[in-house]
Amino acid sequence: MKLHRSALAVAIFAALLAPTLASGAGYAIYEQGAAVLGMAGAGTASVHDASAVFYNPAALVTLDGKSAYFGGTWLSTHNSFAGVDPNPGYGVTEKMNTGNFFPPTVYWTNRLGSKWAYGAGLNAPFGLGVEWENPESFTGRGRVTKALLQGINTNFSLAYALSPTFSVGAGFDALFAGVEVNQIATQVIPGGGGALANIAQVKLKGGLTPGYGFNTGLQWRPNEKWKFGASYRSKIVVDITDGDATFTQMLTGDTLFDAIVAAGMPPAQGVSTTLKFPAIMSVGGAWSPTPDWTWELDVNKTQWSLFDELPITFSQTASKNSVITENYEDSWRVSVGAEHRLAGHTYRFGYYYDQEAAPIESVTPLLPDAPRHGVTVGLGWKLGAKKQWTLDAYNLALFLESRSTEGKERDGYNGTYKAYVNGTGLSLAYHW
Amino acid sequence: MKKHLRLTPILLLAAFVAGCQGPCDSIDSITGPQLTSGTADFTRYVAAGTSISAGYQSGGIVDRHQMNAFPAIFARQIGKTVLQNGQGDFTFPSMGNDGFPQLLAIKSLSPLVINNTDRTLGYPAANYNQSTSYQNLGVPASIAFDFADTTRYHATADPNMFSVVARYRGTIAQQALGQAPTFLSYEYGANEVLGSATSGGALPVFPAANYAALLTGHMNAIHATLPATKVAIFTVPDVASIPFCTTFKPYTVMLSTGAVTPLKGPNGDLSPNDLVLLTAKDSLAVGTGFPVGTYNYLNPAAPGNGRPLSNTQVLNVAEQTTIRTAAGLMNTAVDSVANRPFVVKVDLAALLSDMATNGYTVGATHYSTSFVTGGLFSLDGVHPTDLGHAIVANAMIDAVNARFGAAIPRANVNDYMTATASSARPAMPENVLPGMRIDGLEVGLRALFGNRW
Repeated sequence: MKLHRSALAVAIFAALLAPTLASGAGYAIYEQGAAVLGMAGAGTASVHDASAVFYNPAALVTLDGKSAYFGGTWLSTHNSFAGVDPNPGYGVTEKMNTGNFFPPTVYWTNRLGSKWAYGAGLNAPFGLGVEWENPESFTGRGRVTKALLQGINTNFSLAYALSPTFSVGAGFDALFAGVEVNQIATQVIPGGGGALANIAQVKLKGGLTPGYGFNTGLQWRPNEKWKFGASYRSKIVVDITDGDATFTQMLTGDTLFDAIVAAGMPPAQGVSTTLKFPAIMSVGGAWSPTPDWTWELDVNKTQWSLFDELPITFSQTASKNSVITENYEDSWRVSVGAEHRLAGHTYRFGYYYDQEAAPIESVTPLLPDAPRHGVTVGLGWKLGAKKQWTLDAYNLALFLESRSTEGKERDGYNGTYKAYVNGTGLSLAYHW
Repeated sequence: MKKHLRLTPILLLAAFVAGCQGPCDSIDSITGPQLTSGTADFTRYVAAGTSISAGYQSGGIVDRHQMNAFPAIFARQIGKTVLQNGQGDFTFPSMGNDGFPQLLAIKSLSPLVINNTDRTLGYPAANYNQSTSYQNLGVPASIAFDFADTTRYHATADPNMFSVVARYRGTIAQQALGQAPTFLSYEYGANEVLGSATSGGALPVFPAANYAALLTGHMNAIHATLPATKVAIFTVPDVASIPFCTTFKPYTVMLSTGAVTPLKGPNGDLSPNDLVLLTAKDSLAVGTGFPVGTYNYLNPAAPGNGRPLSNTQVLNVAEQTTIRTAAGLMNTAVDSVANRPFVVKVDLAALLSDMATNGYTVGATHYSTSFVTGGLFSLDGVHPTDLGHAIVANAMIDAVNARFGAAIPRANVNDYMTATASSARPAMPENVLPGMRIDGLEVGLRALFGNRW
């Protein structure tokens, strides 16, 4: 047990340090288990490892004994943007720094007799990371130069087998959310011909703050060939009330202008906001035509309509308060995956389509949401004398459709975003 | 062997992902739509008009801003090479140094001092001896009458704006039509009312009926001479909405009580809708116009002295009505010729009205018609900045595209957000104008309205 405690501590530490990013619609992250991801995340019905804590707690009763699971994904992101008139203009291209993110997954499960099981987990089901190159000249710098959103979830779930073929599960979630947004404030140069001067670095940061929710699941295993599952994860709303806002003046070189800007610079102060993490519903069906093959089809609905706005409220300078309208829409995801269990190893593959959640008006440099196509491949091995170790690996190639704002972006920042994400994940589990 | 065959596609995909060709590459830049001319023909473009066409800004004309005048921007968008450093096929009288007259600059922030002392005159134009007529024939201070009549060209001693642009080579009309333009912009009307506005009604408004007759006659003549040529005409903006007229409030507020007290004009207390002109600045600075002891919003150190502002410093409601009535009649005349097949109307009046009411937004940045701080008007409070010109050019492009089925790409306003409306690098926070002195303003006004009709 000592080993597992320290592994958990390491994972928590990593989670607190590591920025994360959205690889699913909006700011969702689906990469929560290497085996299920090998099947493009289609695991609501067939999940058969400790990541059931996330995918479907009802499946916990199908796991024997105890298991400890430690894993993570390396997500590498490539984002770029090409502008159109009138703003920022034809010919303008912008690029994000290549992002490297490591959302962790840690699970613990324990079967209690024939009917009960419980599980606990830590993962990062939500996150966002953007960092535009050359922030001082980035054409969208007034909105964002760098932003991080973290949603570190801890969960405890209990599962109960109502019958040998039907089980239910439910759990409690504590989501620790933190956010940081950096912008560069600009001002029209007085007496100028319309040019802007960078006058301040603005940093808004809220430390990890908890919000609470629940999750439920059910699983029906009518026979050897079929499994069906459904799960629901509730929305979680996190009020960050103790954030810090700092304003660091950027000198223009004009001492008189700078003096006046300095006089008008807001003091460092508190800032509050409300972060909204939507409910996710999943249903899936898994078919095993032969004992060594499993195919699964999942459909997920995420209630992104919850994310209607992002308020920013300052403790002193009320004139700087703002509410960013988002008006997201519920989005669907369809995933299909397969697993083939061979004597020496298991291989998996899958595909998912993830509908965009942001309306065209909300496709911004802060969150350039777009429809996604994910292609995954995975490999798994059972290791050790008693096969007590399980090692799974997968790779995700996530293609975001190039998405144009069609001239409708809310702040008039228009163009086309392109993005690609590569995810490589590994997990190691020990069973006894 | 069978196992390996099964793994092959996985390995291939992994290799593809590892190389990351294509998906990881940055997006290619997007080029704008290509120019098409529809039923118009942009082979030769000539601009005739006022100081706005000339690119007059911050009290003078200078090459740096002439090349960003709206006709120059329009020319650029239809594929012309606008004169720069002596090169180009859309030419204008290129004024060097600090312009002609020297442009105003912000010299001090506290107190705010705007003047053109110590600046170098840019006269004569670098290309004064150009053998052909200029393509931009905009003449500051000109009215429609001047298009085809040289009477006023030499009413004041040289150098004046007519001698700079027309160079004793005949009327603007002769020089414009002599180039056989396939497209002509004809932008007159603002000066018919502007002189009256900036003089507080002391100068008369040019009779609207005369303007209407001139406009109709000019359109007839242009069409008779060049039947295939398309002509852009412009509505007359409400000149009472420019910062020259709107910067100073006609009342002051007692800081201690919040009581609103009207300023004093030549006929007693000003009404809330009277306009105190920028030319009142020196009087306001010493407390004139403010009732005795009241708060001086321009110079708090000099409380009101009770003396009234003069007639030329105030544009009262009746004078505004006279100007607006004239502009309305002139715009009726514009409408009456705008339906001719070769004419396109550019609604400058609607554009300025919208900017005065709503400002102008580029991305998340909001511009307004506020003096000095708004970004749309230059330091003379009358003429647009480079950004303002880009907005006018886009209004013209939109109108031409709609009228003639053309596809002229709009100018990117970001390319015209220049750091200064003069050659200095001025700076002020929004809506703070303590101790303002605009010493050079009269110089620019004399250049504009020195010769009265």
